Amino acid sequence: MIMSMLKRNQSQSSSIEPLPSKALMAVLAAIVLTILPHSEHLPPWILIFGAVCLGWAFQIHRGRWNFPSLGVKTLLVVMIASSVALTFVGGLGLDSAVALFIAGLLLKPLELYNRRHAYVLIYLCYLLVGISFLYQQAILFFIYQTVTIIWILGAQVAINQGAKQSLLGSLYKASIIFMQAVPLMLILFVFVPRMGPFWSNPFSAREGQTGLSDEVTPGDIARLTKSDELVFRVEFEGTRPSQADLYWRGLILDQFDGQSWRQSIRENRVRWAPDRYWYGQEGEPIRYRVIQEATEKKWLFGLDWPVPLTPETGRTHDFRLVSGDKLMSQFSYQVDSYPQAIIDPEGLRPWEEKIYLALPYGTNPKARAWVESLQSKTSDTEALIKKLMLHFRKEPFYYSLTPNPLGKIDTIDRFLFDTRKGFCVHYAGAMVFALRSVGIPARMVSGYQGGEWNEKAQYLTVRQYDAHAWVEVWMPKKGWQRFDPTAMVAPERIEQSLEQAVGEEAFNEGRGLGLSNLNIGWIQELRFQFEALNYQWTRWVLSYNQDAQQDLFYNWFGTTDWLEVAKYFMSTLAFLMAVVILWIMKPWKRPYIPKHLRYFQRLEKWSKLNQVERLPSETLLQFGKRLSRSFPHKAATIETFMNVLVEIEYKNNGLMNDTHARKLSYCIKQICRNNK
Amino acid sequence: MADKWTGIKKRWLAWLDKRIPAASSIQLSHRSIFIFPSKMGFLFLALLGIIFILAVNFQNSLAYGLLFLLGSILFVGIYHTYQNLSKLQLIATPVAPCFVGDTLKFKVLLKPLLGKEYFQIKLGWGKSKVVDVPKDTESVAELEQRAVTRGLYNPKRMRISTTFPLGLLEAWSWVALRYEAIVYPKPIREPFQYVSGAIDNSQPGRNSQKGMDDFHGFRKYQPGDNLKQVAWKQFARGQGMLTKEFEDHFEHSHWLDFNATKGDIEKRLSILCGWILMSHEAGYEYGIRLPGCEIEPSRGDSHRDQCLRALAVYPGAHR
Repeated sequence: MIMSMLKRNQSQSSSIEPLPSKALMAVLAAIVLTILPHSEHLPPWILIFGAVCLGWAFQIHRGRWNFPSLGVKTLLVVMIASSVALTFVGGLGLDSAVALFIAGLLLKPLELYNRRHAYVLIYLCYLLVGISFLYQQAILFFIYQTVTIIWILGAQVAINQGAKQSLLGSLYKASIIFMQAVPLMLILFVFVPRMGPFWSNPFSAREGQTGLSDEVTPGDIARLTKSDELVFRVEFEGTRPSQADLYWRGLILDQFDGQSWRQSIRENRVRWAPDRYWYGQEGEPIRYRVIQEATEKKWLFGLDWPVPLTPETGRTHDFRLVSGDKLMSQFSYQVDSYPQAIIDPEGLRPWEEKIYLALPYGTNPKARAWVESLQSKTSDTEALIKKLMLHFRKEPFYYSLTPNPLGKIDTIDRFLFDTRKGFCVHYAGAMVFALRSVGIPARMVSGYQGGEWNEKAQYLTVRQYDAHAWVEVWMPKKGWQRFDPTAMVAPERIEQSLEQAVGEEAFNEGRGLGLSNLNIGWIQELRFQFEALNYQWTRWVLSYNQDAQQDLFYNWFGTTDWLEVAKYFMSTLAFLMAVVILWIMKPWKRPYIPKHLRYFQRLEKWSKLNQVERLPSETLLQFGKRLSRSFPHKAATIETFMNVLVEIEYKNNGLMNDTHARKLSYCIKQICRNNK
Repeated sequence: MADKWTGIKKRWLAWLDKRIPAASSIQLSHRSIFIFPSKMGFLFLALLGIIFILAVNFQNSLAYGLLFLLGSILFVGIYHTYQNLSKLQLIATPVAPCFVGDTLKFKVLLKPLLGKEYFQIKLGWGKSKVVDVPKDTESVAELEQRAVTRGLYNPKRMRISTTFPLGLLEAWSWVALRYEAIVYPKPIREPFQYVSGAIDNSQPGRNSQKGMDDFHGFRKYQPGDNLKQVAWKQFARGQGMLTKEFEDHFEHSHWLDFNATKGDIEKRLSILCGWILMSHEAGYEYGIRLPGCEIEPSRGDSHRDQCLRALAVYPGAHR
């Protein structure tokens, strides 16, 4: 059926401009190379469709099949568009946009009539490489894409080359161009000013990225990707608390509906700075300044028990920091924190108690029963909490960024007794539920933990991947106390940043494969080296943004003023250009000219001075004869000179012996002696 | 408006003449090579724009990297494209003459710099030829041009260009290779016409009854002798190439006279051209008489060419 469809439009094939077949194969291969890394988030039918399209294009190239007619093409486009629409019912996201783009790219080879079409395909391949970086940025992936780019470049050269040249030659040329472009690229990468986004993305690439929101549904998240986006920086006045104490409180998620944790909506009395209203004991404050990036939200961050100092910032009754307006750009504020303060030791207000004990009725019976049995064996609240925490350490709970979905009902039960795999929100959620079920007021706090201390610049950097959630429990006399159940599973998280914690998690998963059971030293060593490399890659390349750029400039040039930097940039560029030009021109390198030809050059120079020039069509002997006619008194010498030259050049294959040399040197001296 | 345009064009051509003077051999250099993005190059710039938006909006460092890499490749491409023309030598070779209405075949010898090779060099007037110039060899591009008018023909500047290796940039030059192409008038084969006015369909000089009987003897063959007069029998016997000589009657040598033809100058020259060809083919001795120019009767290819050349360069209304 298809064959009959294909055979119908024989006439179209006449319009094909010759595209070297090697180039066509290279282009098809480039398409495969660029689509492969996307296969992870593409519906499988697109891959099948792609195989069909590329196979068809290959058959066209071999002259077996024909180009599809306009009707067939329209049919294909409609089919693809509707299939994409059906696959991604949820609406236009990044995945569906990319799927549509790739489907279009796969259709394109079916109208690869000439060089121009091939160029368009090449360009689309480059673009697809760019898009792939929105999904993956790991170092190995980057290396793969580098190879892909060289291949695409090779295909581009092949399009331009005649049919006679080999594909290897094209790839070689492409590699040379690539190598030459890399130094310039590095300069541009470092120096070209980075800027903020033009508009908010219609397609969020942040789906499932760690970060804060005022609602989390642990059971739904099947995959968290790390984002190294900067959230805020902190400069401490005086001593810096230990890394383990850096719990940056942001939101309080105190309402649970069985699936999601969210911030309860209620009237919040905010004490605006400089109102320092306080109760209870205070102790010595830690003073620091937070420079927060734009979030388009009102929430701010502070350590345990904060009092804001900057106008337009305030503190709620549950010790959250808030700003008067949404943060549309970078915002800097000063905070005093009182870590030793005891909050509400006398008791909670009734409405608070109601909120912090509320649970959906009748859910998670197994969890409730288990906690009750635990409570019956313990004397007080503190002992119960200790038991709960120890449970997470003793039992095989795993910290994972790719937890199993928990379903719709009894999610806490499933997590505690079934999957036992999750990240901070799972642990914090389970613990809050457990405590509330036995009448102990508790709440989930989300914010950031730790941060990276920059020794040189003396500030702390907190990034999205530092996002964390923990638990606060109210106890009589002691007030609100902080507990971090996740830390029981992966203690590294407290002492170090998530980078290492995630490395640990990969390590734990490797255990299942028996990889680390081998305990071979060098494999471990290699793995740690690779981890370190990946970290450096993230630190220096992936997170090289506006701020990193300014820091770098400050370190290098002592200024962040663009004009100053531009001066340095231009002078560096000028210097490099000069080096490159010298290298290309090689003024110190004279082209090698055999000695006898250098004699001839002398003769030519002399004759030019005397208004006789060799014509391009003239042979040596003809030129000699003409010279002789112009200078009759030197005719004999000129003739000898020319004869010797011809003998060397055409009889001896350019090799000169001593006799020749003597003769030539004598003759040239005689000729050039300017006696009339 | 049109005047202004032609003025600009004239100035441009004058500038070109100064910058890239006409010569029979031209080596391309930075003085004569221009370079600019091609159509595909502009499309590439659009692609860079898209990647830029992608990089900025998603704050993606690697997308920035790709953007800068492609930009750098475009930049490096300038050098490579330039190198694919630089130091290439173009040499004009002699052109065989032709008649009006035929095609002149211009051969361009492309000589690479020692150890260098060139790919996909496009050259010509309008319709171009594409040639590769491999290492250490001379390549030939044969270009064709229809001969429209009689006379010495000097072709316009030809465009030589390349987009190799990336197709994003085009390097080109306008070169004036000096060709000495001669275009003869279009031959009109009419019966010979005597000045007396009588029309004779037989050949001139053949009006005497003697015809081929006037055989006189043999002489050694000389290049240019009419092959019809070669004594093939004797050649077959192994006596070598001999030419039959006929009694040189007064009538055998004739003058082809401009005044014997009718019509405008071009028509007359065309008729003369036809007569020269007919005389040559028949092996007669002939001379031509043009106002202000006379060529003594003789035979042979070079004589014919000399006569035809005289017709070609004869001053006419259009010159």
